[in-house]
Amino acid sequence: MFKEVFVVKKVFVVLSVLLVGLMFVSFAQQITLTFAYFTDGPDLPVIQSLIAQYQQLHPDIKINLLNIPYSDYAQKLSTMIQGGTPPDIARAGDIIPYQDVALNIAPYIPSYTGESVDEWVKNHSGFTSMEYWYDTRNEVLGIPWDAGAHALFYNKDEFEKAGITAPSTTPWTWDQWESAMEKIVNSGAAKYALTYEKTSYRWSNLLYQAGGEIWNKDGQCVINNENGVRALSFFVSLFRKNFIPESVWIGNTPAFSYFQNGLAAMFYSGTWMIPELMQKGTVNFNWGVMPLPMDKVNAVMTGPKVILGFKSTKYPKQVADFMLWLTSKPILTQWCQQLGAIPANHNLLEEGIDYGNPNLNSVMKIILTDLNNGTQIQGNWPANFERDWIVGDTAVITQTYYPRLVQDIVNAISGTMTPQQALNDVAKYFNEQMANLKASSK
Amino acid sequence: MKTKRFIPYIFIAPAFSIFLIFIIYPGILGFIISMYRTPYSFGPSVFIGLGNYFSIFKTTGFLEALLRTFLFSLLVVPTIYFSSLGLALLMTSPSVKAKSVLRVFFFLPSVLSGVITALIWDWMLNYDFGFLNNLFTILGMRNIPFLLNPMDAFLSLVLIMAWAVSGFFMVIFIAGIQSIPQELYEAAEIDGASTFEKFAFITLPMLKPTSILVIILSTIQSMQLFDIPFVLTGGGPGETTTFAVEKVYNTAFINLNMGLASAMSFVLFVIFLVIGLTQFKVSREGQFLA
Repeated sequence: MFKEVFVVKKVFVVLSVLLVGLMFVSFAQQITLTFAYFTDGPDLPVIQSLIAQYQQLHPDIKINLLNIPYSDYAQKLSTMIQGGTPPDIARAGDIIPYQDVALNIAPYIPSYTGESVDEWVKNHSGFTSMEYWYDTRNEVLGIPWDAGAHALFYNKDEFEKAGITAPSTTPWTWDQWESAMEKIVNSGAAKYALTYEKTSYRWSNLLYQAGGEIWNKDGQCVINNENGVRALSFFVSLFRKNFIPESVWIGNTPAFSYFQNGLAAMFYSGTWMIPELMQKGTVNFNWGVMPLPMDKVNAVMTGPKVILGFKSTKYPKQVADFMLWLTSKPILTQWCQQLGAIPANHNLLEEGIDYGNPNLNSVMKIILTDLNNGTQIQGNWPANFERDWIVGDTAVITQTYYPRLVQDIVNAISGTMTPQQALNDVAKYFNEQMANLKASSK
Repeated sequence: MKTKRFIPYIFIAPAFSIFLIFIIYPGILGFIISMYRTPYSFGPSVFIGLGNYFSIFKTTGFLEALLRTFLFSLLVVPTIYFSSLGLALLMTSPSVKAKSVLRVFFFLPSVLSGVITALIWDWMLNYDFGFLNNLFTILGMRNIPFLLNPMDAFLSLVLIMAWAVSGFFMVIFIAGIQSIPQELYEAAEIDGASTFEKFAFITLPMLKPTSILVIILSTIQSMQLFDIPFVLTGGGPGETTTFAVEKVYNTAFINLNMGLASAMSFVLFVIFLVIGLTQFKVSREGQFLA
């Protein structure tokens, strides 16, 4: 009896050890990649299902999605990088901050795509500056994923109440836009005509529409020229006339809450809001989108997202493969269809995407027509926009010190500075920082 | 015998290790980082010695944020002191009923996180969505820009902070009041002292060590304030509610200038050290005088 029990115990111990050993071996063979991600909301289940798809195709790879709220994203990612524990992959709004720590995936492109790097860069580069990094450093530091464009949403019910017809192809001029705002407020259709997101990037679209720019080609900040002052004066006047709620820019209230609650008839934001607006229950009114108004220039800015790997990863090939898979035509098409996103892929932009939803197709048609008619011609950003936000030391200064621009815009709105004084302060500060940057790189 | 001498150190070793790893080591590392210029793109840092310390007061607006923080402390500390002392006197008064329930009620705000406090008060004070302004609209009154006007926003933060922490200091004062010997009050009553005279000549002097503690702690707390203005006002309007710690945060995580932010942190550390040492000296002197 004891002998039998002893044998059973022995067998149990051996089997347990074997099981643990097998688990250890299987985990040891499995590659785990950390993917830092920020969500716009409805895209989270989509990326999770794409990751599940990828893992099914590659059972030896596990991808840990680290979902970080957008408001904390830059800080969290910066802490991880500074602390020496960056993720393997990250979603980002720009390559510039990560240019010295991003993985160069150029060596992996030919074997994955069958194209030469030159061909692949040309076919893939949509709205973003991937070509810049390739041309200047011969490196492919990140892959453009999708692009959001600035968009002006409106409440169709409130427009009807005010007796206004929104344009669908030809944009309003600023004067026409302002008189529509006056009509909305005076008719009582909404408390405010417009709610405008509080970011320097969003405000800059007005700057370009007025024919302004942040930097000139000599690397001098010229935001305080006549066109810049015109843009800021126009913006400030909308607050003075009570067309825009002060709480968004002077306080800390999210702009969307005014549109969502019907307090503002128009919402100046971007196409990334489309998936959320399409979700049932987000808003209880009919909404639409119109071409961005124009002043001297028909300018429409885009806000691309990129996916990039980090040099410190232990698995550069696997990271590059995942990045290339995620941004390949069939997967990117799936992504854009489900989220109403604009692909940052040159070929896909030319071919167009059927979003499979008549409402979404008509919204995206207006936006893409606006983009094509605006100065953001496919793949060809105007030089001033590139210089201001995307490439070179000028873009580094803008992206590092943009809070000063926001602060001075707020000063102009609250009346503590005139628009000219506010932009003079920005120009002085940016030029000082440029001088510091040049001095420190000698 | 030799082994016995080491035993106390073995007992304090775990706590000291935690202190070393999480306080001393990061502090030293922070000071080292403060002597480097860290580029925007996480590239190699450059040693610049005390360059960041010279920059702090020249170009960054840190000095303005520091002065703003001092002014905030100057307003909020007396507010906290008098409101928490007032609450403590109320809670130790024999004529007040249901004291235990009221104490919990007044203490509750101090257990809320700063973020929740900020969200609650945004819901109360927001110009368009706030409870108070909606009530004013119903009553036919004009809305008040509590958080949009620089002065109103600043004063709102003073009152909100006082609301958030007075409950905690009320408890400290209650302990102090309850430790005052009753014989002193009895003797004063026999001598015909009024309520005010008992308060001014017995309660207040006997609460001196407690008062010093409350003033020092509330000063440090007010100077370290970050979460409430960050969530409620975003440091605005403009920069009128951007205090020193938020300035450090913006420098580190918005401007991605870790070196400069570390230098600012070190300056704040020195200021808090001076305040802490002052408290230690004053409370030690108070012990000898008592």
